[in-house]
Amino acid sequence: MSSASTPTHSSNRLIVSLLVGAAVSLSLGVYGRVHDPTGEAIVSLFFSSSINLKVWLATTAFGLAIFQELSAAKMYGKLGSGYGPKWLGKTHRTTGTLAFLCAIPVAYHCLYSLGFQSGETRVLAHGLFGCLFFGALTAKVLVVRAKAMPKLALPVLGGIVFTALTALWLTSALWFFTTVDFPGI
Amino acid sequence: MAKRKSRYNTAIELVLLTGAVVFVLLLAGVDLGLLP
Repeated sequence: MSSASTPTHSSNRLIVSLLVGAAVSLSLGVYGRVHDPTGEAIVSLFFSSSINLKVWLATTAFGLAIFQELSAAKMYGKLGSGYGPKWLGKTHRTTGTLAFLCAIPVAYHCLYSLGFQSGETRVLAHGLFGCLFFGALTAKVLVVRAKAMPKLALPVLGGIVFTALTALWLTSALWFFTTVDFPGI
Repeated sequence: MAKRKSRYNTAIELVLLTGAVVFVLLLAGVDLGLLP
């Protein structure tokens, strides 16, 4: 066994990954708190406003995240028989990257325009889950290709990422669809 | 095959890293007055 995959090295890498993820979460929360929200819109493309664009980008990211969860379960043999077709791994990584790219403008608008708010339970929960999402995603990306990680590390981190994104979608897009407008283009 | 897979993984990581860097630069750029 090479020194690169000893249990101590793996534990160190896991701890560093978690610390980096925690730093990302904390940094986003602090930034959102100290930055003066501008209230300005960013791009809206063909949507009627930035919020409508955000709602649909968040919904796209959530849809891709569901695929992420199912494809990961299949690849690890936890869904039905077998481990899925060969292309599933690449598709999993590509759709995960697309979900991340969808989430960036949403998070940017949240932080730049709205900031971290705590006046309302839904909004506070949304902000906290947003910070958790990016921190957990960072830790997961750092862990995913590391060798000899504890077996639970990847599924737990992936589960936290998916749970956080689900909570984000419930407290933003679903709230928008049910109380403001649907489809809200 | 392994080389192709490695190149693909590197490309994915580059996209993720670029997205993260652009995200941070946008946030920092606005507050530092570098961006409108």
